[in-house]
Amino acid sequence: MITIDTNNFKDEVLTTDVLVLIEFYSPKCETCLDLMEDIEEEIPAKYGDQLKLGKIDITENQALNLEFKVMGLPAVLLFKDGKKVSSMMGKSINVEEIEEEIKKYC
Amino acid sequence: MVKEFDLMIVGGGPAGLTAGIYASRSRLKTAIVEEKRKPGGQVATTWEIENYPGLLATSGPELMKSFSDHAQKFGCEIIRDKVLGISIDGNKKCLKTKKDEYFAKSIIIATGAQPRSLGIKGESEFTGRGVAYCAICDADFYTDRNVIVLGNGDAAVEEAIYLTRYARKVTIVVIHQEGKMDATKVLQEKAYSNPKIDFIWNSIVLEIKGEDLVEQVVVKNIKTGEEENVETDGLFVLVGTIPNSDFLRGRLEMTEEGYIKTNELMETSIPGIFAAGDVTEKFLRQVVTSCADGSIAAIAAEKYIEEEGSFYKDVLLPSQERPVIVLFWSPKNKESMKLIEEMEMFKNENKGSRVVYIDTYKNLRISERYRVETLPEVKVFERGDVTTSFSGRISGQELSQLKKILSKEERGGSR
Repeated sequence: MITIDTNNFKDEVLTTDVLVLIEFYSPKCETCLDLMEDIEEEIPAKYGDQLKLGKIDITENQALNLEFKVMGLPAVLLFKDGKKVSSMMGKSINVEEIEEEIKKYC
Repeated sequence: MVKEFDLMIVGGGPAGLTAGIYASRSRLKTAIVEEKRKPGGQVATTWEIENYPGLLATSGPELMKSFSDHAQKFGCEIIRDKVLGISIDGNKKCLKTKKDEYFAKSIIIATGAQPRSLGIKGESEFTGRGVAYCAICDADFYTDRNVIVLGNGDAAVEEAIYLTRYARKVTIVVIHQEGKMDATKVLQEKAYSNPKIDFIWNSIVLEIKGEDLVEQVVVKNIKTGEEENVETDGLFVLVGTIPNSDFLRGRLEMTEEGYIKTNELMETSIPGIFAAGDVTEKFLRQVVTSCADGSIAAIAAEKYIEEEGSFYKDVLLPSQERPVIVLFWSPKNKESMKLIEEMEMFKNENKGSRVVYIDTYKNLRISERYRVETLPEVKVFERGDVTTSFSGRISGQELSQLKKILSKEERGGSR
């Protein structure tokens, strides 16, 4: 997963042709770290170049939290053509649910 | 390949991990099935623990890491999977999981509990947008903001104190009258002396309001009936927990809320299935009480496996071939000592007869199942069932009846 922050957000997420999945996380959130490993293990092999994976540390990127109205963890957002197309929130999010959403846009 | 264990533990919080330590140290082939990558259960999201004996202060994740290392050190396996259901297959128990299927001689349910939601208007809509259940996970979002904590138990007050590291102001909404909270006194004192913490007494939260994010909550004073809109950036709901026992509904005896009922051996309503920790009906839900439950369940399961295993091997299985005489006795019962002597003589006279002695004191479960009340008691097992039964002092007539059963067998044997 690429580390996304306020500096590279535009280049990595908004001005790319592929679908982008971003997980908002905090280093203290065990559920988030768990989910991140699940995503890394199961998603890339299935979608290859069609999908880009990124992560945003919420403790260092308040501006992005505010912009995308993320106020709880974990949160997974999908971006396509420079726009947020989907957002999943809460501790019950799992890889299956994320994949269902990816399929809609991939 | 069939995956078989002596003991399988469902859930890797303090209860499950402790059961894992005790069982694998007793040399039972043990596995814990845990849904999460890192075991630890609710403790993994507890910032500070200062009442676990011997540890003056530790963090939840740190403590759980050492629990899990400890269990694995003795050979306990930790399998990452989700248990969907349990079924009984003869003298084995079957665990159906998301990815696989396992068999075990005994099972311990230690699935714990999770934060309870309120079910009020706006709650699910604003989850992740200002409604939160875990301070460690979400505190950063509330840096220099105002938050409300609903609840007044240990978890609520602890997390309110934790939130003051980030938030500008933390308001605790308490249902009780002023000065009364359910949390431990030490925590109450910490909260009262924290300049960032305020209280709203005699009150509950009725509704959560906002545009995209939480902006207000409706607080009702239950004494006066007055309702008030209170501005806030977030609401932390910490109003107790609900047990993770849905997958066993209707199978095990539970309270109305879903807490599994157990006895002092942590046995559930199904023999060989035990329960431990927060998922059980109990007085105090703490790391230390979960550990205690886990250790009891593990040793009780070990006894169960031993008792059932030898009864199956020595009585039920051979009784398929020929009658097995079982003498239930106790070292404290004089009559039964005398009968053992007689049975020994009987055995010598009737070569090849199978007599099994069961000490009722050590094999309470088997004795109860076959309703052994008066000692000594003799039961004849044929094809797994009791066909003849005598209790108390055994008469000569009864002895000759036993002889007859055995000679019938001998005739059968010579066929």
